[in-house]
Amino acid sequence: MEQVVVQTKPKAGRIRSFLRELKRDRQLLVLMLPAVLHVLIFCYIPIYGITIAFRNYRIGDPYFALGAAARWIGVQNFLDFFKSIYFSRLVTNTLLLNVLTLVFTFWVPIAFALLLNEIASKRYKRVVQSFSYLPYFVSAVIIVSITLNILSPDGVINNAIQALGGRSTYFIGKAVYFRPIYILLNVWKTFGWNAIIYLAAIAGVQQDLYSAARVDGANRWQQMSYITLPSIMPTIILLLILNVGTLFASNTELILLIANPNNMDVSDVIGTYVYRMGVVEGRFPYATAVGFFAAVANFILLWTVNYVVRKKTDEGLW
Amino acid sequence: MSRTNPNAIRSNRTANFLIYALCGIIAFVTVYPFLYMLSMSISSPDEVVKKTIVLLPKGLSFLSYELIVQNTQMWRAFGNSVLYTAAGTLSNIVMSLLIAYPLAKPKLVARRFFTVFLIVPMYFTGGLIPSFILMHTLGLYNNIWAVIIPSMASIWNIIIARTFIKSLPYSLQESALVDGASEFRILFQIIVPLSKPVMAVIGLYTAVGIWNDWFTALLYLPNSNLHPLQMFIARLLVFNYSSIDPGSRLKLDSAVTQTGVITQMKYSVVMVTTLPILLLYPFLQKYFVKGVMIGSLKE
Repeated sequence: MEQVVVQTKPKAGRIRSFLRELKRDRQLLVLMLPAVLHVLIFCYIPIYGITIAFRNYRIGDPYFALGAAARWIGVQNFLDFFKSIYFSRLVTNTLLLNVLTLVFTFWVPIAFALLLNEIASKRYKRVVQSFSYLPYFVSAVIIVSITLNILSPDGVINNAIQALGGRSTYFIGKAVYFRPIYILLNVWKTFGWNAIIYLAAIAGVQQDLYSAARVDGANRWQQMSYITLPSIMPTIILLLILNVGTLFASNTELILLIANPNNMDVSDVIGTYVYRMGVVEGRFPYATAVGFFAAVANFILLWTVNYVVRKKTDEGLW
Repeated sequence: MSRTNPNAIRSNRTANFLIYALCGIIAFVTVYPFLYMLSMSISSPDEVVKKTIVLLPKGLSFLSYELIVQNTQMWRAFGNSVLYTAAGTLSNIVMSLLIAYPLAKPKLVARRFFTVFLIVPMYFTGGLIPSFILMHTLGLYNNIWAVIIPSMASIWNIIIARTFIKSLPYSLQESALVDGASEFRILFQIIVPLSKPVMAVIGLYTAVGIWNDWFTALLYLPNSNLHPLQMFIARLLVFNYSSIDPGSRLKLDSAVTQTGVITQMKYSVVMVTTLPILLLYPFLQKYFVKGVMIGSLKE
């Protein structure tokens, strides 16, 4: 409605009414200024900074540069990355780690929420749930410290293995254990927190559906699989789409803590490579290009999955 | 009908038992590492060396805590963390409310532009390196402001605050406007007192985020005197770059006790770092869940 009115006005009138609104809201605009500037500087300027991937940028060069001063080099950095011996290893490691993590971290909160929903005692339910998301609030550093400790050669796990007659294993020093450790940490840290959204969805299911099903003789299992699960399916699909849109991203912060020279072959992902190339070695344009590649790949994945899901089920992000 | 069938009742009982037991196991697995850390830190040092502690503490000794408390490096890192967390959280609450109030107005000028302006960075960011170079360019490298300034506002918090303020009755603002109150006065005398719950949500989200952050320090703070507690612990326990000085008092004890206490100091540092989170946990639970609910209502 409003739009139609605006469009029929002559252009000069539209500008004049915009200026009038600007004047009317001047106090509000002043209030907004600090946060707007913050977002502009710390979110938008780095987006512009992606142009560094296409420039022969050296530290000390101006951030903003136009024309010849920018020393444009086109897509050379991207080609270098695609041709690099690291390319296939990084893409494989990143995708494999993320897909495996998704496979395990995705269903656990759903199963946990369904399980909690079956508990009649409200108090017991609350206590279990309170415990379940404690790890979410504890920092990555602390969680990794505890893990390194528990898994160390004289840690509690190896003590138990030795007590049972087995041989002590140096878990952190072996590449094969990197993925299981990373996945377990993620499941442990996030399952309780991620279950909150499913529990909220379950709480929103109409209760008379259950009483009707009980009258028809449906048991608990049937009630869960024919009422609860279908009711929270839109939530599940939404979260799945969002998760697929991060398959090329890396939890660099966590991986850097667990990575070591022994597990480098499997722990080196795009995020840690960007950190190493850029922050450690100072190859800024190249590292920017690698990071941008991951961001674009994520966006394409997100768009594609959303498109496919929407064609099939009518559910989707947009 | 299942209600009258004794077999069904029995299988229901078994199912109930299994469900309760499984949930109990899950709860135990989530808290076990913390319990283990606590037990290790307060047991007697000799038991720590003998590796007899599995779940509950054996013996009782607070020696490692006494030594930790005397450690100046730990206190400096603790102080840095408190400073970064307090400064970032307070300014984040203020900045979020300042922008959320105008955004919640039904007829703000160019409100569609501002909405898009805030949504774009949620889907697309410049990434690590462009931000890193920007911080260098701004002269924030090796400067405590490198930790504080970026944490002073966040889009997620802005959206949560806006959604909350939008849910307050607009008539409150309207009548004040009619009475000739300035927007500034309406915000501080009407909106802010009503926004305490959302301020708690934003404050706790931000505080936990800053308190737990070590990566910003890794990127921007090469000077270890500026390191927050998490970076201090990462260097001490994960990367083994630094060791903790047990002080001179320990020399009086036996070699076994010394080894035990030095091991225990690592656990005590972890406990000291996690303690603020554990103390805040009842509030965290309440307000974080509230935050998730407000956040999921966004249009």
